[in-house]
Amino acid sequence: MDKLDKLKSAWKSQDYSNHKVSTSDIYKMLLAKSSSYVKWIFYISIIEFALIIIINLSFDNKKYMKIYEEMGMQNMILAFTILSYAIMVFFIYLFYKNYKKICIDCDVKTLMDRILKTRKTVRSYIYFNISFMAITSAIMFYEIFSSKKNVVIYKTMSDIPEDFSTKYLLIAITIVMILFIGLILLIYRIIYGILLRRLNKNYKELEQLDK
Amino acid sequence: MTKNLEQQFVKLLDENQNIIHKVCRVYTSNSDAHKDLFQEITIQLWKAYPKFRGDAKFSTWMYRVGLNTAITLYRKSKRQIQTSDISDFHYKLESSEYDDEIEEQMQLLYKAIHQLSDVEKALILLYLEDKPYKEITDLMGITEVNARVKVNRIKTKLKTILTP
Repeated sequence: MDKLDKLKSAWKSQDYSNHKVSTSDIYKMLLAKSSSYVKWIFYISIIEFALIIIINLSFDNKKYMKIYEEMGMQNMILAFTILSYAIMVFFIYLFYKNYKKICIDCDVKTLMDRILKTRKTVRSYIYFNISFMAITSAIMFYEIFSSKKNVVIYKTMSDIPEDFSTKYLLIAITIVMILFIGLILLIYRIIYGILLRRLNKNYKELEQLDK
Repeated sequence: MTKNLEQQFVKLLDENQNIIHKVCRVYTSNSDAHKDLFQEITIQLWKAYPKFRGDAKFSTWMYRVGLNTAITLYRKSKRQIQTSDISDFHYKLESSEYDDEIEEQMQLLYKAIHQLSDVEKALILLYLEDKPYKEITDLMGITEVNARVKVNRIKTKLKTILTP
């Protein structure tokens, strides 16, 4: 019998009766709040969805619509808005469906897999939104800058002197857009990395075992 | 949830609380963190209990929820990072046949286990609990062959630590 086998029987005879939690303390624990990771993932995901809705709504006001009407872009903006809300509803549905599948009493790998899938839905949505924002902005700016009338309206709306070079304005807008998207991606990667670091590490280890 | 269900659950948990203590002892390194994890596992068990249909033994189900909580759901508390003193949380060995040497080896074993990864800790815990490989694979979600290979590797690692 080797050392580990010997210890195995000692292991099984460990008795924690000196630390026994009383039934009254168990009852108290049942009322305590969970500090579960999944709960945090749920809250953070909801915050992400809410933030995007708030950002969308803040851009969705009448003042902007009037300007878009003047530029003759109201139908395009309306189509983008409807499309973005339809896609958001689809992602929220996917998120909810995946979240409901998280089961504490399934095997360790399945649980991790389902949590990661739930997070992936939110991550895909964020990436989708950034891409959507970049593409629609590109289309919108193309529409604005391909018409002299629209450039004048845009400059007036943005308090930019009319004689300011349109070329430089376009370069400045592109740089600001790239920096803005880059910043969002960076912040998101940091938050995502911190939130899922341990889970990803453990999941990779389990996956490695099955290779 | 009915009072009856609650009473039934507390009775079962009370009878099997050694399992939770063992999981906590493996995954935490001080008594405050041990208590935190014990509470979190209890909460998760209670939340999942209405769905427990008795297909598996209550103790097996407890391992499942306990390990899932320790590996995946539990956010390590600051207390766990700040201190590493489990000496204030001591178990007893039931039988008197275990001498001081075994006791010392058990302390060494725990020290060695604390150096393992979360997944390795789960595998060695189930091995030391003498769980059949079928059950280990069901709990971890990996194949039996891979579970065996990994457990053997961990055993070799532990033996090296235990035999300086």
